[in-house]
Amino acid sequence: MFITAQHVVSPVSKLEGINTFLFVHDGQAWEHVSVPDIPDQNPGVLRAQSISVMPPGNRVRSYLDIVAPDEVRWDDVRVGLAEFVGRCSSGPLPWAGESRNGYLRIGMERALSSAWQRELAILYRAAQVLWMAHGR
Amino acid sequence: MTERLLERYRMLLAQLLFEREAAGGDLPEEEESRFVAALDDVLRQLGPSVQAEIDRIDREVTQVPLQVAEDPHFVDLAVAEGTSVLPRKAA
Repeated sequence: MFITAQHVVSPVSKLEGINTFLFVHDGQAWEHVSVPDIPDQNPGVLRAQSISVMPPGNRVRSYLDIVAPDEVRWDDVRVGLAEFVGRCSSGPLPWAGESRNGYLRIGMERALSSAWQRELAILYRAAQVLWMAHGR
Repeated sequence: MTERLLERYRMLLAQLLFEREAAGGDLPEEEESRFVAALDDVLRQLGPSVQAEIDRIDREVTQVPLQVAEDPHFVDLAVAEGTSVLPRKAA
């Protein structure tokens, strides 16, 4: 499973919002995939999306990428993300690395960094909503 | 030992603050208590002599903007359901 939440802004209307995408890896055994390669090379098949600002062409102001087994429990995603944040937060963004049940990437514009926890929580909740509606 | 405990304190605090935000501002009491207990345990092990360090960590985690080494340089893509493309590309 690969779910990404992106805070985007339209270059034309200046409208901002969160677009979220859920990809699944049906038929691919978790132990046989290269987890760090999933977002860029093997994102999976797009199962569902939630669009606030119509793509393409919007600037991505922040993103949260979550890679985990298709059958993951969301509570495990949340705990893994919190641990990842605790581990990485002494260093600068962007962050990328393994979590307890997969792989995570977080990036954010400097202009958002003064409220980074709130920004990250907004991305997280958008991912959670999409997962609850369309995940396993 | 002290450095390791200070790092553990910082990590727990960062985790707690994220968990609160992710929960919309308030954690269930049981979750909050779990974090408080873990933080208290670390503070007990550290002792009072490192209070200035604790205060510094509290300020950094709660008030100092996170450093950003590199802004994202992406624009998003339209992706059709059933396809397999990362929904952003380098700007």
